Amino acid sequence: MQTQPGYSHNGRQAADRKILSRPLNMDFDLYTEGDQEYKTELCSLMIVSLQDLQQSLSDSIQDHDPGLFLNATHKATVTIDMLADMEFQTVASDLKRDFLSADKDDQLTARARHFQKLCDSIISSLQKEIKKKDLS
Amino acid sequence: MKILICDDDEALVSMVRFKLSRENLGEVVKAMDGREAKMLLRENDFDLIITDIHMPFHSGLEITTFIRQELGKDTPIIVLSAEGLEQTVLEAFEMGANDFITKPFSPAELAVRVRRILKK
Repeated sequence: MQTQPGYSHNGRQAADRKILSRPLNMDFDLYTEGDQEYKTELCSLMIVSLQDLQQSLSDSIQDHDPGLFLNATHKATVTIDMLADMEFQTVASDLKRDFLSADKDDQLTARARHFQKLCDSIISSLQKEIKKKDLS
Repeated sequence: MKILICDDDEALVSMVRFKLSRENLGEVVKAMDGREAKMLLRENDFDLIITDIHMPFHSGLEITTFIRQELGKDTPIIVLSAEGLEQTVLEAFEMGANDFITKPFSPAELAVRVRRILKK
């Protein structure tokens, strides 16, 4: 497994990537019951969870330690499910499989980039949800 | 009612806390890892404990054993896990858990199970 340059400092990476928002499929009312204050809190916690996933992916690749990403996805099970984003769920699960296959370095690299971009887009959309509340 | 939720996932803890408070099921206290859970359990009495299996320092199964064997308490325990493996479920029940919920779960499902256990 080769370390990908630039994946060690996630914040800088995110700044370097063009970030597009992504439509959120999440049913907020199921979790927030229409409470706007709580929606803001939940969005903020989900952003932290996604940032942890991004960091763990970078660290896993850099340290050649799949366990870091596997543990992070395990911990973020509820956040991943709440997002109800099929592509995101699929890529996360494919990444776990790639990590466990020694001969899939190229595939892992491409998928890791895709996953980082998906996280950035979802974070951007969650931030917009928070701003909506601030404006209302 | 005083409920202890033990999980290292802040989003999940927040979701559980919000739903149980909303349903007036009790005051929810959180522990973000097994060590904090043990400390809170030694110093407080709870009416219900909800614990994840995978946590830093001590697992939910260790916490269950701690409550039943070291503290000698029969406080109801709901075990949460992202793995619905039969072996894990059986192990949790053998150690004294009263219920087992596989993640992900809906807040409504959790509230129903909590209500049933607390007979509210």
